[in-house]
Amino acid sequence: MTLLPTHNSSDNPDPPVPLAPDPPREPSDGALIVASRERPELFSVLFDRHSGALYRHVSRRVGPEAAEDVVAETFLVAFRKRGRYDPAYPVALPWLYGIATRLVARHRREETTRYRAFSRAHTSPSVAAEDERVVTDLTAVSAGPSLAAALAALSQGDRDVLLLIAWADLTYEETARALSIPVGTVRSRLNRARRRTRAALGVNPLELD
Amino acid sequence: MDDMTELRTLGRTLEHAPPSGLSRPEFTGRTRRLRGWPALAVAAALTAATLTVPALLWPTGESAPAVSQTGDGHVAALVERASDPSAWPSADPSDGPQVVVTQADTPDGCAPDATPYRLCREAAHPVADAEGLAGWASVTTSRLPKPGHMRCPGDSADRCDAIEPALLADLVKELRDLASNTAGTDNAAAFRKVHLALFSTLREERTREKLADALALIPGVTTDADAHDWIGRPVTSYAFTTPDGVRQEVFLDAKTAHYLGSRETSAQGKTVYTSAVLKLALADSP
Repeated sequence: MTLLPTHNSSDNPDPPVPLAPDPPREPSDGALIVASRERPELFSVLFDRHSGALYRHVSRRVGPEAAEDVVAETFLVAFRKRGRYDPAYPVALPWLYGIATRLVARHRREETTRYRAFSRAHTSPSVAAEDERVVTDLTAVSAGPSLAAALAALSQGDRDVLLLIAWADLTYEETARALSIPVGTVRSRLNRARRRTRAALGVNPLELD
Repeated sequence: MDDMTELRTLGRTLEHAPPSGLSRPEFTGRTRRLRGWPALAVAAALTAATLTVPALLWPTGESAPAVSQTGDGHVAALVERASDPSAWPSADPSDGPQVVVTQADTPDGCAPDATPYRLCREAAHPVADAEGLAGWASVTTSRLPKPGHMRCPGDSADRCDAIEPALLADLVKELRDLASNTAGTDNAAAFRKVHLALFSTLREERTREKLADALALIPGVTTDADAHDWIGRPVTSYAFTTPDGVRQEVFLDAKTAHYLGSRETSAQGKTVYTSAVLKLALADSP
């Protein structure tokens, strides 16, 4: 139980005040995966934890229909490979994103078509804004088509790295582990991809380096 | 807004919410009986979770019995394992014994909070290094290779050896450039390169001090001589914040300029990675 610090003065006889007990501790993903080697049904807890986040991420890339298939297949692949999961990593999401990213690659044509379609559909002249919030929103909308077109033009490897970091919020190290590539490669691919996206936004791409 | 912010906005625009009936596959298959520490670890984690829930629902209003497992004991174990940097080898011997590095760092996905000695409690889980230390930190030992190579954790040494020598050669050249002329230098890249030089090689004390001076001279770097690393050692901290708002810190021993570790804090103030070199020692080649 955690104790609240008290004054050290000897004239303070009050005992330490107990705080609320620690919240219940859920088993980590790593512990669950290890346990699922003995009890396969526990893997469904991992699905319940992470399928929503995976679906949202994958749906951005390949759309809602293909996303459902990719997510289901991701968990089946993960289930088959659970014996090789290193339980030293408590959070399995980067591992799952890595599997999903490899499966998304099978839908490369759908993905790039999706970005190009978005780019064409949303290209419109900008509208004057009345306050900063609206300006910000409009800027985001107007930048979207250019960015989507830039995403479609990236190589698969560069796009995978960029979107794992920008959309899945993985760190460089997590991205490297998810894609089984060195961290240095993550950095160089991200650098290259960001030069393209910055150029699409009209920013001097050399500013990144 | 910068390009990453724009990209995230685009992502939210393209995103779909998961359907309510997102189909869950059947997870059935052959089972494999666990042996050794993984079995104990899982049993402990599942038992702790099982016991804690009824404890929190204790109906009498009395203090509920708590399942307590803080990180303090594990940090204490790391502190015990650490040795005094003053006793570390001062330079990499050109022949004979190799320098062996013992380093603890936070596993991926483990987000330590800001308070020293209480790290990764949310993600605490049983792990074990080669020497059997259980805790939330991963402890690795590696050897500092001879000049021309970088150190790598044991399981990826082949990959690193194939890549890093060229990087090191570039690094040395760029450090020379940095020392002679800071004008036009990419400050973030310069900080990263000095960090890499300190992390990956053991140079003689005079060179280490020069590298520390180079760190402090990089525009944007702030120095704190009264900082502490995450196992509580007094260190000199050299901090640089990237244009994306990520704060990177390098910790050096004030007396010897030995590299003691690093910390990376996200723009949101969350510590996403931290490390501590526990020991440098000489050992015969494997």
